[in-house]
Order: sequence, then structure tokens, then C-alpha cells
Amino acid sequence: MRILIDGQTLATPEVGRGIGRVFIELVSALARYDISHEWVLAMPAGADLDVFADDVLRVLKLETIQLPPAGDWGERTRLYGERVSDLARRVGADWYWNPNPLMMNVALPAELPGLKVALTVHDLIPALLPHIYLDNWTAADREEYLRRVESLKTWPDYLPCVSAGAVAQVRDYCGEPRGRLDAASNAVDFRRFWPIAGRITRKDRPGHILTVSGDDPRKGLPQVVEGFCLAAAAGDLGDLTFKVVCGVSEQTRARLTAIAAEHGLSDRVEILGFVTDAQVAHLTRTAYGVVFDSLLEGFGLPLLEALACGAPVAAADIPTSREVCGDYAVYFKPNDAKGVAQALKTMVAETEAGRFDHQGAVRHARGFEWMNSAALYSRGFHPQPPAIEANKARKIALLTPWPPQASSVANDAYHLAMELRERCVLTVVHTDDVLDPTPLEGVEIIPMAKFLRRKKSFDGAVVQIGNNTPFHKQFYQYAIEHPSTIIIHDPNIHPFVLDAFGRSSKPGERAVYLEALGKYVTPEVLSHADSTDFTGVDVFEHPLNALVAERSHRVVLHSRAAAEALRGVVPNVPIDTYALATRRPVYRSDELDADIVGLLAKLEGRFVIGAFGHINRLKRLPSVLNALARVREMGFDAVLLVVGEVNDPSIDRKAMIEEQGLADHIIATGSCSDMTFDACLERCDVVLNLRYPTLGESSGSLHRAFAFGKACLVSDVGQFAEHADDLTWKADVGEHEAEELVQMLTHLFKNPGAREQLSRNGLAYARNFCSFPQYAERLFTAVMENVK
Amino acid sequence: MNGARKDKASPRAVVCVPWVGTFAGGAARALLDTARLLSACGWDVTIFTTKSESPFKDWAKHQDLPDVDSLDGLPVRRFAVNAEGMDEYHAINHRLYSGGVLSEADKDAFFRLGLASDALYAAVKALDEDVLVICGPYYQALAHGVVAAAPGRAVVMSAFHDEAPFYWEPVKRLITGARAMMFLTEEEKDLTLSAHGDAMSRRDVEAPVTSLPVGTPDQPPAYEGRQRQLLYVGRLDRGKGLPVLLDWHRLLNHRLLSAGQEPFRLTITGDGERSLLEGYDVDYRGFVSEAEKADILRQSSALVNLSGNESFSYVVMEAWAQGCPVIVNGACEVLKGHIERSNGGAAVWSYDDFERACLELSEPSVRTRKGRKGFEYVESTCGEDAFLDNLITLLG
Repeated sequence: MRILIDGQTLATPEVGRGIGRVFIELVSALARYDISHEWVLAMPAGADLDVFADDVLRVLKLETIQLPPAGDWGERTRLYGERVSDLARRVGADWYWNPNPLMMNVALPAELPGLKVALTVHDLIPALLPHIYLDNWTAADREEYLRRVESLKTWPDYLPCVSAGAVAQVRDYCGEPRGRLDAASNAVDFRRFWPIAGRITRKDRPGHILTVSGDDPRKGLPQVVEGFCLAAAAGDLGDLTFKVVCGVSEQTRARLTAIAAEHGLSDRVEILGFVTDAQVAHLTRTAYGVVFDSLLEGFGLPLLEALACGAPVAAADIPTSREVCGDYAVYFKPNDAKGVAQALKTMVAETEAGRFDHQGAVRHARGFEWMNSAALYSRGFHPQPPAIEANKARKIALLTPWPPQASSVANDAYHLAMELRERCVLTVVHTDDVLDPTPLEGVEIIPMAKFLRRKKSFDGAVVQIGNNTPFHKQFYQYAIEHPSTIIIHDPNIHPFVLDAFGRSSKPGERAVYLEALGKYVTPEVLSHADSTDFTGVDVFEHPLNALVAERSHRVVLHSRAAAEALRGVVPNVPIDTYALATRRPVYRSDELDADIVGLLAKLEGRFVIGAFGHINRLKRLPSVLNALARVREMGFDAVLLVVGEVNDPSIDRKAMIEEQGLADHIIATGSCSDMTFDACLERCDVVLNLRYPTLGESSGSLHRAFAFGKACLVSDVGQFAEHADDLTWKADVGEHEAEELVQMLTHLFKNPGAREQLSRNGLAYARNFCSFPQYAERLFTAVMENVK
Repeated sequence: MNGARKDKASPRAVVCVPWVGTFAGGAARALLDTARLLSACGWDVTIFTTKSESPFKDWAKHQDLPDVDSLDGLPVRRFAVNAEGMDEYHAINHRLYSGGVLSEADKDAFFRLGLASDALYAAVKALDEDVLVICGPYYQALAHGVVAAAPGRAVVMSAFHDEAPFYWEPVKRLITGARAMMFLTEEEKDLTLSAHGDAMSRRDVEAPVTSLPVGTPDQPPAYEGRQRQLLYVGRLDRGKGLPVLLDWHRLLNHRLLSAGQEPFRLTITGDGERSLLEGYDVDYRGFVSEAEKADILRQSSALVNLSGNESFSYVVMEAWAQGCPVIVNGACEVLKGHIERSNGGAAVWSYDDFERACLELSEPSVRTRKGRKGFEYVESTCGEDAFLDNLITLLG
């Protein structure tokens, strides 16, 4: 799907705060992690794009949209709607998404024919508290706001809300809307809000209680200040001071100051006014505790920010506070000074008694991640999957390598089949040479020959295409003759097509190669190709996947780079892109071989760099060994753990190792079981997944490393360069490759925090975007699109 | 809320420093600042030091200081320096600096004799197990003796430098015997890894650089300058790059005036070889108070530190704490590293670099932006909260 994102927020004062920050984080997370959609940002002229990181800007397609002039809402709405429609048509958008539709300093179209619509709801506070807001607005603004809220009932197809509380507000005001509702929670920026290791307070500098608020009647600022003063005057807060962060009018400042003065606490109450984001973060990190009052909120970000820093909180007892803080807050009745005082007293007493779980608060806050919300949005933008019960009788064939065939595609097919069997009557079809296929309950497993006799009895077929001749030749032949949904694992299948068909002695099979090649090369090149072994034809330049793609109903690929390249050759073939599925198996350590247990014991206390899979010249072995030698010279006790076989005769690994003096610092397992593979992966501190040149493949071992929460280094090329910069670190493949590896490895060794963050991100990515259930759902949806 | 909880005993720490109250070298200042900060956080801190009056007087002969003293409210206990071995130590030291050959026994003796105190070591050994011991720097025998007296218990603020004694075997023993190492900079840690990586455990490698505690205001102060001004703070010493700065400043102003542009005033604070300033048009203030120094920093386009050998540079950190950007010697790895990580100024290798940096930082918006970057760097890496955070992480 191509999503047109409304970027008007970039031109508003809110871009740096609250609602603006949510916009930036959500768009960034979606661009970084969701490869299944294309993202087009419609931005006002002159918008500051520095708010987005480089890896986000690499993904976003940028279009400029002219904002309507200020004036009559009707005219603004109409004009803006026309401009959005024109832009959507021009870029081929499927969806229009407005992340801030109810803000009154942006325009919202009234209709967009032919487009699906998603509107993010932060809150319906003006509608639910009209006496504070709507009643004090101009008639024009009131009418426009109510028009927008009314449209939530029937217009949007998707209504992601920033909290379950916001979902409830929509239901309260609108009833059950037509569009799908989701609670895609806000999250916090952990790069700014993190816990100090020891929440130490100092004799020379009193601790402070903080409130980050707004000069807004519902926020109860005078009551909060009064509450602090009551508790402080009663001696319940020791020497703690109170810092108030929010832009305040002179009138409000005077009122708050007077409250403090009445209690004789002017020296302990500081009205800071508006401060920078960096200051807010600093004040929160160093706060003894945080208090937050409000009659109604859409989320309550200051609460989550406080918990992320391990600070105890006192919060107004409203649904969103409960949703955000759970058991980690002391609650009080909103806008009630005595309630605030009591809550602060309790908060301080509990903390002094050691009963507040600071680490638990941090863990709780870390459960709110932008990646989780992005995954929900991603799902919301996808076509709804077919109803399972209505389609359970559908017969679908999965043509695939299958265990005991030794390949990651075969292994993963097993887990994919486990999910697909829940949705349909699934038959797995393997190549005829597999004699003893691994059984799977509830799934019929048959050889190709049998399938061909029964093929007409199936509603649809999924064919897995890869680069291994014995595993895929029969499937490829089927796919070019029978339109199916095909999954191309290695987008460049030239080596396979050349080996399986080009070098065949059968004229009919050689013709297949020539037909595939003809999609890419001129007749002159083709004439040179009419020889015995087709030397002179550049395998890397011509992926040869166009023939099988254009004969298919639909193609599934695992990277944006692969999809973009294929679209350039076969623009009319539907292509779906989603991340390769992965999983983290659970096993008991007592199931491991004694040899492996012994090997892992030798790694104790050392920094382990892992390289997984078949080792060949594409895996950058010389640079890896060079980097290992240099890292060791710098003093790090690092070891390279090679899990796999060397299957490239051009590599004299032994000579390379001896030359660098690394014999004692490289451990190779050779071909090994899955359990050994996983045990070694578990032990690694850093995983190297370097490849150049590539065949466009996504790496099963890399995704497995994500599922295991490993810090991963990849080559900065093609599909690997697509990964978000906070998911993998990238090494250039040029002359500085070894040097870059050294820099990254030594940084990761010295900074366990950096490894841990990459680990978290990998785990979250695998969980949110690479699960087998999600992959199966999308694949089944794709197959069913072509079932009559 | 403030200080230790009333219902629990205060944690205890002993900070071992070679000299206190009579000499304020960088390392001593760092250790004492650590002691003050821990005390401010409710720790019960005692300072152990020697009775030696000064590094510039005979250590064994001039020990006329009281056994018990106090410094900024912290109790100080002084212990006698060993007289034995002093001649041998000085002979080894002389051979070291005159390029003589030293045996392994000499190298051992260098770190065993000299400023050593058996009485202090015995006091450390007698401490309860729960008392945190911090000592340093590595160059004096005192730290080695403390580590040997309490193996696995002492945290060492080493202040390692790339110099001959750093590479000797006793330093390896210091590292393996310490509970943890308090490195001042990433560069110091990298140097240690390259020379003594085999002595460092994985925990040592992964431990954060604690740096030194630097007090910062809540926000970087605003720039108050009305004219182009450069500032030098520190000892008037050739080794601090001062002659180069004076020459470059002179050339800079000559070129600016020739082009009809506003020159830079060079303000200098500190004391030492005043003769170095003769013949140069500078604004010399001598020693100034901390408040005056802060005022001058707020009025300056940049602080300049062209020293080629710094282990941390308080001066640079203090400048950033006042929101003032800095110009440093790019050949000094420590200073270059600070600039690279902070973007709070410029590292220069030549006069052309220097001129470019001065002109860039004379632009108020650039000066403010770079100053803020430096402030954020100090706050996040060596502000007092960051220092405490790193220390706690280091201690596990």
C-alpha cells in the first residue's frame, strides 16, 4: 500500500512538543521498520526536515503540498481536499493518513473519493469538556471542530488512537464508528528519558518534585501548587522543592506565586515557565518525583517520561493515567489540592521507605515502544485478512523445500505451514527426490508428481523460489507454467536459472534460460549467450526473475530494494513486500552436545563475534580476519565464532588465519544442528552478517539474530542498508571496511548499553514485524485475492 | 529526600590522596572533588593523605603537618611518608629522566618507594570491608601501596598518560589488583587497553568512563560578549601551549587590522612564568575568583587551550559549563576526543585552522550553538549527576 501522510504538523508550533513529537516518532518508526508499505510525506513548502533522521529520510518520498490560505473553513477544507486528491492521484496513493486531524491549526479534507482514510485521534477533549473549550471558541472554529469529530463516525476506514483512553473517548462521543479502532499507544524517547543508576539525593542541593503542565483550566495548576504547599507546610516533604514547567501567562504566574507566598514557601516553589526539551528531560531525570494533574487527557506523556526515568509519580485518577502508570502511581482526585497533598505525602513516604520499585517503573515504561505502535498502524493499513471460518475449506498448496532438506527456507517452511494450516486445508508439496519428509499434523505432504496429477483440485498455490537447483527447479518450472503466488527468496535467481536450465543438455530447458535472459538483455548480448556455458553474461547484473514474476498472480519479496528493482522490469505485477519471518526456539541447555557445552565454556569472559551460515568469498572473510587481528592488537580479548561450513574453494581459510596469527582466536563449528546454531548465537556479543556482492537475498540468520536480541553489523549495501540505523550498524564495503568494523566492534565491546539497545530493537522488530503468524496472515490474504 | 535515610547508616568511603591542602594538582583536585561530592550525597567520607607538605619539598624531611585535620568539612588523616628507600627512588627517577637504563627491579622500586606510607597502608588494611576505598593517581607509589594493602577493594583514579612508566609491569599489577578503574577519558581507557588489555577483565572493558565531576548550572548562561575576545585560563607555562597562542593571536590581529576588521582581545588569567607575556598585547588578569572567571567566560567568544598533553582538562569543561565554546590543540588526543564527541568548538592543527575557528566562533549564533553543545556534553558526560551515575555503575 502507498500511504500519503499529511505533514501539516511540520509547519505548526507544535512540531517540537507533544503532538508534534508523536507525529515525528510515529512517521519515523513506520518508515524505519515497516517495509510492507510505501510512505509519501505531503509537506508544506519550507518545512524543516531536520526533525527526521537520515535513515527515515532515505525511505520517505517527499512531496510538497500548498496549504490553503487562512480564512473561511469551508473554503479551506474544499481547497485542501482538492489538493490532497490531486496529489494522491499523482503519486498513486491508496491511503490518506492525517496524524493530527483535530488540531485547529491544520486543515482536514471533508472527502477524498477513491482513497482509504486513516485519522489518528489524540483526544476529544474539546468535545467532552465544551464548557472549558468549545463554548469559548469562535463560532466558526466550533463548527469546524464538530464537523471533524462528526466525520469520525463514518468517514475514516481506520482510527488509530494514542491510548485505550482515547478509544473510549471516541466511543463515548461517537458511538461505534464505521472504521476500525486501534489503541496504538504513545511511547517515550529513551534517548532523553533514562534512569539514573542511583537515585541519589544531595545534602547540598534539595531534591525537587516536578510538574510538566499547561496553562489550561483542566490541568489544575493552581491546585497542584496549593497541594504541594499544603504537604510541604505540614512537613511531609522534607526539604523538597517544587519546579513547575509550562509556559504561563503573567496572570497565572502571579497567581501561583501568590499561593506559594501565602504558605511562606516562595523559596521552595519555582515557576520555570517554558524550557527547552533538553531541560525538561534533565529535570525529569533528576526529579525526586513527578506530579501530574488533569481532568481529562488523551495520554499523559509526562507520566510515562517520569516512569522511564524511574521517578515515582502522583497522578490525577483518570483513565489514561491508570493506563499509562498502572500500579506505579499514587492517584488523587483531579483538580483537588488536598488530594494532591495527600498523594505527594504518600509518594514521598513510600519512596523513603524503599517501597517504590524504581527499576519496575522503568521496565513498565519500556513496554511502551514506538515500534509496537508502528506495527499496529502497519496492520491497520493492510487489507483486512479473509475471515478464517469462511475460508477454512479452501485448499491451498505450498510448493516448498521441506525438512529434511537442509536449508533455512525448508526449516522456515515448516513453521509457516504450522500457521497456514489454521487458515485453510493446506497441502505441502516437496520435490520428488525427498524420500522421508518430516510430517506435520493436520497437513498433507506430497511429492510434486502427485501434486501435478491433482493440481486442478486446489484453490491456489504458493511457490517458493530460491537459488538452489535441486530444491527449486521443479517449482520454478511449475511457476512459469501455472500462475501462482510466488515468494522469491533470492531476488537474483540468475545462478539458479543458469545452472538448472541454461546449462541443461535439454533444448527445452535451455530455451527457458534464454527466454528469462531475454527480459533483460539485447539480442546482441543474447547472441553471445547462445554458447555452452554463457560466459560473458553478467550474473549480478541480470537477476532473471522477471519471467517467473510476470507469469505469477502476485510476487512476495523481502526487501524494498528487491521490490523496486523488480517493479522497474515488470511494473504491472502486484508485488508485496514484508520482512522475512523468524522465531526464537526455546530449548533446554541440557539438550546440548557435550562438545558444544565445552566449546561455549571456553568463551567465558571473552568478547564473541559470530559469523553464521556458509562461509564464502561474499561474506567478506579477509576484512573480518583483518578486523579481528586489529581489535585484538588494541587489547580486546575477542574471538571469532564461525558457525557453518566453508564452501568456497577460492578461500584458503587456513592460510588467511595463520597469516594473521589468529589460530587460537577463531573457533569453527562446521556444519551443525539447529540447536548448536542457536546455542552459539545465544553466546555471541556481536553478530556479523556481511555480504557483498549479494543476490538481493534477505538473511535468515540475520533475522534469527534479531529474534535472539543480538547486536548486528551488516554490509552497507542494497537490502541490508535498508535496515533502520538503530536496528543494525553498517560497514562500508570499500577500502575502509576493516577499519569501520574495528570502530564498531570496539565501541560495542566498551559500551554494553549500546549492545543492549540494539538487542532490544532487534527483539522488538522480530516480534512486531517478523512473526510467522503475521507472515502467514499476509500470505494467505495475498493468495485469496486470486481465488474465485 | 536529602542526605542518607535517617533509619540507615551512611555509607562510608576513604579517599587516598598524595597531598592535601598544600598542593592542588589536577589528580588531587579530582579526588577531592569526588570526596566532596560523595559527602554531599550523604556518604561518610574521610581523606587519607601523607604528611608531606608539597611535591616540591623533600617528601620525607618536610612532614610538619598535623596528623588530624579537615578540609571543607571533611576529616583528614595524615600519615608519615617512609624515609626508607627515598634515595634509591630519586636515583631511579633521575636515571629515568636522563634516559638511563632501568632494570625490572628499578621499575618495581619506582612504584614502591618515593611517596609511600606504610602507616597509611596499615590504616587502609584495617578498614571494615564495607568501606569504599578510592585512590590515585598511578604515578605515585601511594596508590600502588593502597591497592596492595586491600586487594580487590580499591577503586583507582589512575590518570594514565602515554609515558614510559605507564608501560611497566607494576601498572599491570595495579590494574589487576584494583576493584575498578576510574578512567578520566575514553582516550585513557583506550590507551590502557592497548598497553595492558591482558590485565583488564571484561568488566573493566565494559565499565563506563567516570570522567570527573564538573558542576553545571541548570541552563547554559547566555553569551554576554560585546567584542571579539579569546580567553586563556591556566598556568603560564610553555608546556601549556601558551607561546603558540601568543604568536597566533598576534598574527591574527595583524591580519584582521590590515583588512580593516575588528581584532580579538586575548584575556589571560592564571599565574606562572609571566615573562612569557612580555612583548605581547594581552589583557592579563592574574588569578581571578571563580565568579570572575565565570563572568569572563560568558563574555568570551571562545576559550583557547593549545596544550599538547592533557589528561582531562577541567578548564575546557568549566568553559563549557558556562556555555563558552573552546579551541583546542588537535594533536592532543584527549582534547580532540572531547571536541569530536561534543561539537562544542574546534580542534586546530595550524594557524589557518586557528584563524578559521576564531572567526567562526566570533559569530554570536555560532558561538551560542557550539557553547550549548559543549554544555550538553559536560552535563551528560561529566556533570555531577552523570559522574555519580557512572560511578555507581562502575561499582556494580
